[in-house]
Amino acid sequence: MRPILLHGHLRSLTRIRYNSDGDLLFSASKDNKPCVWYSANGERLGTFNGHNGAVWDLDVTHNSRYLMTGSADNTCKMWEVETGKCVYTWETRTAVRAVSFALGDEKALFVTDATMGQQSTIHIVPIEADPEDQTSDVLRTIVVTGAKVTVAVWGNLNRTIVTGHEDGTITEWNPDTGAKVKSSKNHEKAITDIQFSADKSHFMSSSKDHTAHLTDSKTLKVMKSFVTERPVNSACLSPLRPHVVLGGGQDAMDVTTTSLKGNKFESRFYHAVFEDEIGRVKGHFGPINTLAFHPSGRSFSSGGEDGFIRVHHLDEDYFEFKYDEENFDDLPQL
Amino acid sequence: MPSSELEIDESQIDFSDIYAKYSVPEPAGFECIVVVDGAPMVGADKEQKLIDKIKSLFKNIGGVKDAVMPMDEGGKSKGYLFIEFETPAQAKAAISAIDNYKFDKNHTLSGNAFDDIEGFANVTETYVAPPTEPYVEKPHLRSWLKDEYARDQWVVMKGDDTGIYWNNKGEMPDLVHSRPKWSDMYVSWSPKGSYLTTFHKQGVVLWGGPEFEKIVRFAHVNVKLIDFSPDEKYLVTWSHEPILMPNGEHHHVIVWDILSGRQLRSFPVAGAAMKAPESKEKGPGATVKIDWPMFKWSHDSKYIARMTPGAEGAISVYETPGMGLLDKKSIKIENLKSFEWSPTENILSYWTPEPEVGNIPARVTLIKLPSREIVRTKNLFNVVNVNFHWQSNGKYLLARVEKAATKISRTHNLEIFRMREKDIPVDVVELKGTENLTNAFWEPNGDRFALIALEGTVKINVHFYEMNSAGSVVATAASKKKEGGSAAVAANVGGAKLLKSLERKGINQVIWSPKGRIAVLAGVRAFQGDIEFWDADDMTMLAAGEHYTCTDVEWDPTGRYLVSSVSWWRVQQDPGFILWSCVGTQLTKQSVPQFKQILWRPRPATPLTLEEQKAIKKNFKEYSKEFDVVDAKETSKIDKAVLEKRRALWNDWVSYRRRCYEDWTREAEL
Amino acid sequence: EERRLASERVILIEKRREIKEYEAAKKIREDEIKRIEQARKEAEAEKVRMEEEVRRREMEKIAQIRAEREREEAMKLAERIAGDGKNKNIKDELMNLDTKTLMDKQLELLEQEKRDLANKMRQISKRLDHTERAMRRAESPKWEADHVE
Repeated sequence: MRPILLHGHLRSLTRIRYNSDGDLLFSASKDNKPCVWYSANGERLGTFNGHNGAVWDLDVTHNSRYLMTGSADNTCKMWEVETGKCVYTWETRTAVRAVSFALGDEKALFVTDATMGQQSTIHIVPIEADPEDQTSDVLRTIVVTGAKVTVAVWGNLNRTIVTGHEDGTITEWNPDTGAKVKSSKNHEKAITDIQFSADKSHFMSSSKDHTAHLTDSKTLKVMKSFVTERPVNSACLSPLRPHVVLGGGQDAMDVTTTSLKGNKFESRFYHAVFEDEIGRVKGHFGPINTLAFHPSGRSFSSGGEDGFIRVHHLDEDYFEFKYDEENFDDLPQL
Repeated sequence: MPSSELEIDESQIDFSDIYAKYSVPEPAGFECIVVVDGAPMVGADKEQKLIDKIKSLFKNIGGVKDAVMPMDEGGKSKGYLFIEFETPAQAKAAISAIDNYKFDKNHTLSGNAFDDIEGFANVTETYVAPPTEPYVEKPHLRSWLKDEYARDQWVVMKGDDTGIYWNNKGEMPDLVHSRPKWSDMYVSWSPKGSYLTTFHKQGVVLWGGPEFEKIVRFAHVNVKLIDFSPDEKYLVTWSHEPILMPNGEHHHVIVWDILSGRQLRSFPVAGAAMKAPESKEKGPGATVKIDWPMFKWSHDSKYIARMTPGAEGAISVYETPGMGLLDKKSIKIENLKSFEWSPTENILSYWTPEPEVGNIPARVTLIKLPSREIVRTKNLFNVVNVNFHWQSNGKYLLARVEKAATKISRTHNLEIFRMREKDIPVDVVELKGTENLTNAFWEPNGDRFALIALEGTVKINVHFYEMNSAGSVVATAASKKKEGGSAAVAANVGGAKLLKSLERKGINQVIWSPKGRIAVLAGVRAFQGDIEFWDADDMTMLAAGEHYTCTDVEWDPTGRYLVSSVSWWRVQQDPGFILWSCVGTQLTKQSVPQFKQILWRPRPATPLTLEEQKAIKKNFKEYSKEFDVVDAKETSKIDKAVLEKRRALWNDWVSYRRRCYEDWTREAEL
Repeated sequence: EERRLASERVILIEKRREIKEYEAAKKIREDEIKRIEQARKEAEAEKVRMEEEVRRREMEKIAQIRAEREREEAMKLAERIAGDGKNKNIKDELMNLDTKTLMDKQLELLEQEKRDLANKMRQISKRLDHTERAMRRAESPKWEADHVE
């Protein structure tokens, strides 16, 4: 099916995320204005105006009422999705690199960057039921020593926080004590994305080292590896099929020095279990920075360095494709 | 690799880091001491005189600190001297200079590093006790030819690693042997595949046998280019660093005997090639172009010839193994431009242009050796350039002639010499006046050739021709008639028939299968990497593919596989290689970080007689049945292995997901 | 009185005549309008008819061109399917088929060509590989002898 092109951003995309129902798609970009779109037809619902710098990350509450964004303008903001109004702003000392709502939407985390003599810091904040009551109170801050944090998400049942680092390390933290639980150097270069499976038992990590891994959350042991010949900027799991999607390209700096044809700006599908590449989806004119699978598994979206978001509805052929060795009856259904 | 011109673009290959990182350490010890052997044995009365004479041989090198000539009890010298120099570099230069130096009528000197002599001495000592030392057999240099699966090998350089592998079609290749930092530069095979050559600051080393043992090394500081004789008996090396000879000459080229490891003769390089090191020193960006091989071997390795261009032009032919000038004189050819050997006979082709004054035409000449009998000449007019393309059996010589139509515009035609026919008739093929011929490619052992022509600035045409089987009288007459020059495309002039013309934007090479019939059209280096497989029997395309920014394309020696590759030396993005079947099916694509080079190992000509070969071809059906069974088994084995692996992976996954599911439900209950 | 009556009658008659005249004039005017309207309508109808005629002719022409082209294509197709004129009957037969059938035939032909090419490619590689393997088998003892020498 023809992809839907969403062109509202003036600069490269940094993060796209679906809400839990999958009817909305949120996008953050370097152009300061996060957007929300109807995922079905690509119509733009609105923008969230107020940041003065690139927006690095965003997350949306389970009920889709509030959106949280982290920006290079040294703020983290919470917005009312329906009105587009900013309901609260946390002021920080450095850029906000990552944001994530905890299960239950009663707390959230945001990570500030390691720059200007500061170290990467995880801030865990309470989220009040009524934004009127929101204060700058912090439940806990965790100062991260060592390599700077590039991505951060809540783990299973809010018992852990998982961070990806610039040196390729993945670390698990206890949010209640602030202690480092586990750490594993699973990649050679910077981690660019971490996305969990629905049951949070495993997650995909992507890295500048040209690979993406499927990792067990409990042990941080790499179970599957997907190797490309380009930096991988994002990787996501299909909620429906045993497939993963990788997106990337060379670093933005090198793009201009090479011709378009040789570049590989494709979303690449791999079989999650057999690690075989099973297909590619072309389209972007620059590296793919962020990928997200629709909660239904029927479509996925990619956000590129070229400023476009592409929503791809998958063909019937795709759902019919199956290895003889796969037997889905064996798999437990969540 | 019978290429007449090897382009060494040193600006593209940066050796400095390699040299800096991996320079082989100097041998410890007496590196400043040179042992000069082969000197006359003299009494004490002449001792000092001889020492002085030998010392004087090094006056161009300088730095002689001391010279000692050991004398025996009888007061006679032992025939060798120790010369100590101030620096190891001087010592090294001295060895090169003195080795094989004719001191007088009866004495030829040899030079060795003292450290090497030490080594030899040790070897000798152990050798005198043969019972304890088992006889070491020379490695079987041809053992690889007996592979029971009839596979071929390739050598791959990636990063610092060099490895030799068996090609297993699309499956993982088997490693035969690999070494880190094996060569400081590139590697190359000898023409029959017996030796792998590695390059080092001090010289080249040949490796061979099942374990790739060191067979022989040749000391030539900073050697960059080599050329084997077709029979693998001799090796020519070139270095931009001159060797200072006792007579004050600077030598760049050395001819070696491979079996003995000895230097046969060294040569100075005349004219343009001498400028190479200087232009290199001008800094990055300076491109050095050297005609290589500079010395061209005859097909039987009996002669090696090189030319002196220009008004005082000549071809100098040297005879192996003595390396003396054939008949003690060069073949004088005024205004000589270029020459080539026939690949099967001792016949040389060369051409001379029209002089600016006088009414003499340009001329292509064929001369037989050693008789120097001129067997054919062909006069040509308004010639700008001629390139020779010999068909691999020496059946045809195609001369690609560029002519001046006006002061600026050029026309091209072909003069094809039929070497096997009486009086060597010449067919002429005219091309469209607007076409600039850029290259020609003979089908190996065949009668077909391909041309690449540029029309205007962007249009590229590929033409396929076939020589008519008999150079009939009619055809020759027709070619004569056409010699006046016709503007239109000559579809059937003389004895060459146009088979097909294609317009192809992205093609600059035609690479014929070594077995003929299949021609690969490719766009390499500056082109995008289009690759097309054509069947010349019916001129249809079998397959079209692409290897983006492809830099090299090479057939395996049997014509069963083709490798296209992107070398990191030229393109840093996505280096690696693709293995294709002979009909253009992509078998495997490997992306290899810092992939530099892949070379198929050549094979010697088959030892089977023509009858034996014919018998095998005739019985195709019989053995094919047998191989079909083997192949089917192999395929099903692979398929089964893949299937089983997938099953296991899937079962593991299912149990993992079940475990996760149980954990999840238990936690959900809490 | 009589005069008064007479004059009244005269006036009445006058009036009646006037009315009659007026009515006549009106009728004439109306008829005129009707006629003009009629003519206009007719002209319009004519114009529409003409336009339709032109369109029809154009359509016919296009259809004709298309048919011609189709026939040409069909001819080419038929020639291709029939081969080098060896099989004239098949060609004639094909010429009488409708385009849909021809298209199907072409599809079939393309499929066949694909199969033929794949077959040919398999044959070429098999012959090369198997011949090479047979050669190697015969060569092997000779290489061994080569070394022993």
